[in-house]
Amino acid sequence: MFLANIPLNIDWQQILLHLLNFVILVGGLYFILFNPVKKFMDKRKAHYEEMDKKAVDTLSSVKDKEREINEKLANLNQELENKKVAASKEIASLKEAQLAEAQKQAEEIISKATIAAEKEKEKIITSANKEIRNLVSEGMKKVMSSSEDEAIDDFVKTFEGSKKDGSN
Amino acid sequence: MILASILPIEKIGMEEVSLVSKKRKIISWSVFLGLIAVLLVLVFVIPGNEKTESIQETMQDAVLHERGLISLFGLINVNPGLISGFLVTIILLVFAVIVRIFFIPKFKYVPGKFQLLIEQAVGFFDDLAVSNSPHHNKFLSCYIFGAGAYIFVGTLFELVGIQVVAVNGVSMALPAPLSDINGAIAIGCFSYLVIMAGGIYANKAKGVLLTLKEFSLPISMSFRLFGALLSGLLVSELVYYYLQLSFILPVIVGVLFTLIHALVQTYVLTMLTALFYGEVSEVKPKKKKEKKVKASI
Repeated sequence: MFLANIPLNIDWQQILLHLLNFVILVGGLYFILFNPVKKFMDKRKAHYEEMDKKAVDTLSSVKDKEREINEKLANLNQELENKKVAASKEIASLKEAQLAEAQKQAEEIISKATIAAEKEKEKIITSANKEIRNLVSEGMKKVMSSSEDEAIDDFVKTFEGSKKDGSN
Repeated sequence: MILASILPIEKIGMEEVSLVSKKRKIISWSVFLGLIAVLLVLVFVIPGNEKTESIQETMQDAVLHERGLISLFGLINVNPGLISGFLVTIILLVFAVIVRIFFIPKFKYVPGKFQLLIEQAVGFFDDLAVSNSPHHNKFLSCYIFGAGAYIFVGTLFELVGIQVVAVNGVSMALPAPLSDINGAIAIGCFSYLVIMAGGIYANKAKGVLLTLKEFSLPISMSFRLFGALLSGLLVSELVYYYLQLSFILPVIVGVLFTLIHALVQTYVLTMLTALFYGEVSEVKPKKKKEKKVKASI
């Protein structure tokens, strides 16, 4: 028989017994030791990967927020600058308006003053004319009532006296 | 003044103490060496029992186990290597159960020394499987872990020297399981079958052909293991056979042929298995047939 006469004491039955023993060992070690330890190691790996991922996510979100804040800050600065420009423009326009208003008021005041002065002038002239007319009429009356020379002298004296008063 | 009067006395006392301790050392060393010399002389002078078998017979029995058979539960007579294999399996499984019940539930994310040792063992074989066979490695890692543990512990098991009585009434120390040719053949052939299974799983019929291409693999794997472990066994037998070689030398021989073999053979078999498994289970993309363009005349 081929199976029975093998040299070196090779025995199929013992080979199979060794195999059986080895299979039991491999299976047992897998279920009892290898698999639980491997599962634990995988679990730990997953845990640390999760931690790493969270850290990366947090870092990226922090970076996003930082970028957002920087953008907001830049926008605010721009807005502030714009407002400054607008305010300075507004101030300038207000200043111009006020100046124009003041100018206008000044002109009005001047024109009013001019008108008032004109009126006063006219009034003075009118009153002067009136006074002259009265003087003339009074002189005429006196002339009419006294002699002509006296009347003329009186008229001249009166006229000169009134002239002196007017010059004084 | 007081110090000056005390110091010389203390100095003298110290010198006396050192002289006494030196004398004691010399005496104890002389007694120890004398005892060894006497024992050595007695060992070689007093005749021992005559050897029941010659060195040739001892060596032949170490290789073939034709006479030193052991009864397996009274059913059949088997080589002592098989008994060693059973004991190694029991030891490993009991160890695994203890670790599973008492240690694994207490495993922490930051490992302690023992946890690190277990994780290193599992991680080493898992990495070996993943690096050599990136596509299919779940079964491979489990197999090489079992094989590695069996070869390593089995080889170290030889050092324990558990005594058993053979069927012929001779007392003998249990050898490494793989120093039995049947054990080595079992592991070598089973590794080959595992490689073939990996090939079939990944490449179907092509996997069988890829595995059959390495037809010498089971023989080389089996006899590499057997030869490596047997060489250690034979040298050990030789050393212990002659009384003159039984001093100091067994320590060197034991370290060389047991501890180093345990590491080297574990690595070699697991590495080879992983390597060939990876090779045959690699899914190669189908080559597109290039149409031959006929050159126009």
